[in-house]
Amino acid sequence: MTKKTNLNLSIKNRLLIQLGFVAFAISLCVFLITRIVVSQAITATQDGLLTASIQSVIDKIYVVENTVSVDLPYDTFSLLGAVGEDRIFYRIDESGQFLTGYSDFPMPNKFGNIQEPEFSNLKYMGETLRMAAIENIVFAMDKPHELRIIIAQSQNFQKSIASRISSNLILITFFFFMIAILFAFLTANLTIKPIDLFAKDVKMRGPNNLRKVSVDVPTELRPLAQSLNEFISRFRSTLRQTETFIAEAAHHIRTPLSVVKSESELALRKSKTPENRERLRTIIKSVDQTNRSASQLLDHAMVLYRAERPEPEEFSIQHAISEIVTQFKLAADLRDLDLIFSTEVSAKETVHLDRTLFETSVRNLLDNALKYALAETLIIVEFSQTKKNFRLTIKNEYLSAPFLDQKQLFKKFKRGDQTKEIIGSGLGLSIVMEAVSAIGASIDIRKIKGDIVCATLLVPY
Amino acid sequence: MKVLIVEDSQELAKSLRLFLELENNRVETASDLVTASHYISVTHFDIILLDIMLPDGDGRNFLRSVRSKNNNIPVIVMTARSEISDRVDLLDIGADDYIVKPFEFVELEARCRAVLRRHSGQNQQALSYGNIIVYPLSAIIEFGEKKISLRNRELRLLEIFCNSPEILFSKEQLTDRLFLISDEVTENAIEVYVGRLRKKLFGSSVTIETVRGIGYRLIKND
Repeated sequence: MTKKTNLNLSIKNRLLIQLGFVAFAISLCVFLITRIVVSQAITATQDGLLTASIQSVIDKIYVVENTVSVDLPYDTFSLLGAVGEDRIFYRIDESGQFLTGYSDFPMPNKFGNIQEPEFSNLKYMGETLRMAAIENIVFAMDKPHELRIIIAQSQNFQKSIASRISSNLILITFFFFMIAILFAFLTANLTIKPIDLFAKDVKMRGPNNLRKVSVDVPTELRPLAQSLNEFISRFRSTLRQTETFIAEAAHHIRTPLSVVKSESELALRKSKTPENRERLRTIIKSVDQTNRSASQLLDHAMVLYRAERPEPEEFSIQHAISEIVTQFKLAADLRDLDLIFSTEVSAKETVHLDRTLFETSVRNLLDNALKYALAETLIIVEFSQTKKNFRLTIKNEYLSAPFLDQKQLFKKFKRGDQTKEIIGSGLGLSIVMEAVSAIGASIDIRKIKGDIVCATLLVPY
Repeated sequence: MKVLIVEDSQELAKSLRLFLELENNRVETASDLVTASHYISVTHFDIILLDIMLPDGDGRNFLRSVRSKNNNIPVIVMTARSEISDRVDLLDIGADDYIVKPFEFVELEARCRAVLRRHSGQNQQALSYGNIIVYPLSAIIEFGEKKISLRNRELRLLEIFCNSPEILFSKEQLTDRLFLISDEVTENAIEVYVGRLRKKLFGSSVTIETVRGIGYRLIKND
């Protein structure tokens, strides 16, 4: 069992998704790092303020009559509290004795000094606080007094600043992300462009165009282009050999077939017994069938070859059709069919395409019309001009017009159930389709009314 | 009609000769270009049936050389190659028509007739029997004050009868001359065409008589 892999995504989409992910990851990292840096900056600012507050408290400590006194710097506290309506908490202890402030304020495990206070975060009275704690020795009457000063400030202001900066940061990051996506798109397009050009060069060619891929490809695609060109070369060589073989085979088959056919016809004319006549007719029909198949194979080989190497030329399309119709007049007469050609297109109107391919398609369409037309009916060939195309229609009345399955109609060796009695190879319409595709034209065959079948060939200007 | 067949396949040349002689034509065959050149330098032919691939050269060069001498003898090229470029080429170098091998005698005969009619132009010979005159080029019969147009097979049938008046033709003989082998021919097809011709000949001095069990012939009314 083979493992199913998801190969539906194009290289471009894969590249876009990968670059999108990278852009998203980078944007997220930038966002997080910036946010951390901003948060650190805010905390450092708050720490600086707390350090300054402690400094101002220390400045207000003095010793009177062997007693340590503190004049609390309310102006500093009010300054701290004014910023974002933050709350200020403090506690001062002297040699383990509570001096002033919030007596239940928890004591930290570590204390810093005046140069480097110890900072920490804690929860108190429902607030998240940033706390600075120092330990300082004050001498009174030559006796050291250990002072512990704690100042804490709630973080509402910092939080609001952090939130505001984060919002801006989100916008900036999103903008950055979008720019990154745009660049990813451009990069994907630029990267994929040579592949697109390569694919287009291969895709735009007709189904039988076997020219080498000549578009410039990046180094990475060169082995692929080289392999493709080698494959095309091998295929062309095989095709050429096949065509030559078919052409020679058809030629060598026809001459002996002519002898068989003419001898049989002579015998038929001299034969009196119905049984012998029937046998000879069967032989002649088989010769016709063989000949027709050989001719169609030869035509098919020629169309394939010309489709690969078209030789466009400027010619009068009206004149070309008119000549073909004239050449078919005798064949129509032999079957008592009236072949009528009408046109409103001037003989001066020219087209630039491979004449052989064009004439092959018209001939095969006319041949089909003649072959399947009801005896003593009209075959109407009309040639006109529309805004974009030359339009050739061939209408004929069928003995019993079959249901025309468009998919089956142009398949090789596919013949309708009602055509079994008529000599044919089932290659005619597939030749038409090949030729028509190679010259950029289109063909449509449908029943229009009653038993009338209409083939429409549109040739672009 | 005097026909020159230039064909290197002895068997094909022989059967073509037999067929054309059956149709009351005088036929000569040449298996190479030298013999063909010799024939046309000493004898007049009404039409040449020319093969392309011959042992001593290309039939197209022979055709070019004939045309370069202002000889406008009708030439139908018999080719085994059916490519469009070959067809265009043949007409360009002066072939009056071409026929792709293998072909049916009916088609060859029709092409010969068409080419000869084109060449004779207005001077074409009309066929006549009794008081009817048949104009093959315009497919019209004329008798008394009447001018009646004919379809192709009716014309062909009348031509057969007019070329051999009072000669009996069996149904099979007429079928072989009138229809391609590839045509789906119904049993009463000849009766249908004879019936139509009789209607068109009504009022003239000729009629198509049915000889029971044998066939048909063109006779003058008593």
